[in-house]
Amino acid sequence: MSDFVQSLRLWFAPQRIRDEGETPDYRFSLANERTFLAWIRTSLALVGGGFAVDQFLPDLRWGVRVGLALALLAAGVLCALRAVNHWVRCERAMRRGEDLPASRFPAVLSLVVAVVALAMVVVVVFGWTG
Amino acid sequence: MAVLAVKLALHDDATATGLTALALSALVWAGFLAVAHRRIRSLSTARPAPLSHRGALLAAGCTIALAAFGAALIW
Repeated sequence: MSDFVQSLRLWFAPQRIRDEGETPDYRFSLANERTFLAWIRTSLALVGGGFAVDQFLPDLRWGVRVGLALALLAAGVLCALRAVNHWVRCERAMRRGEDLPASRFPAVLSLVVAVVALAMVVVVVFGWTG
Repeated sequence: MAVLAVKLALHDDATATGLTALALSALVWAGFLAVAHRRIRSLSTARPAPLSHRGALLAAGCTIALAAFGAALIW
C-alpha cells in the first residue's frame, strides 16, 4: 500500500523524478511515451466499447446492458490510471538505470476483456431479451 | 465516440442531465485533443523534450472524465 501511495506522490511531483539519476536517451523517453499512448488508446477503446454496448444492444435487459457498459467504462478508467502509473515508474527506473517495473495488469486486463467477450457471446447467442 | 455520446444523450428524450453530461463530455474530449495537439507540435523539433507530467496527467484525466460522464449518460 505504501508503494502505491509513493508512486501516487510521484505523479504530482515531476521535479522529484527529474532530480533522480541521469536523463536517459530521448529515444527511450519517447518509446515510454508511445507505450503510455498505447494504453490511453486501449482506455479510449474500452470507453467507446462501453458506449457502443449501451447503444447497439437495446434488446437486452436493462441490468445486463448497463452492467456490461459500466464494466467496460470502469476498465477504461483503470487503464488510464495504470497508463500514468506505469509511465511514471518506467521513467524513474530508466533515470536510475534499474530494471523496468514488471506488472500483472496486462494479464488482468486480458482476462477481464475475455470474460466480458464471453458474456457478450452468451448474451447474443441465447438472446436474453427483456 | 462523439457520435455515440450524442446518440446516447438524445436517445430517449433530451433531459437537462443528459445534455449537461453531453456538454461536459464534449468539453473533456476537446481538452484531450488540445493536449494531443500541443504535444504533437512540441515533438516537431530535432530533439523533442520528454512528455511532461502535466500532459500525461491531463490526457489520462480527460479519458477518465469521459468515462465518468459516459457512465452518467448510460445510467
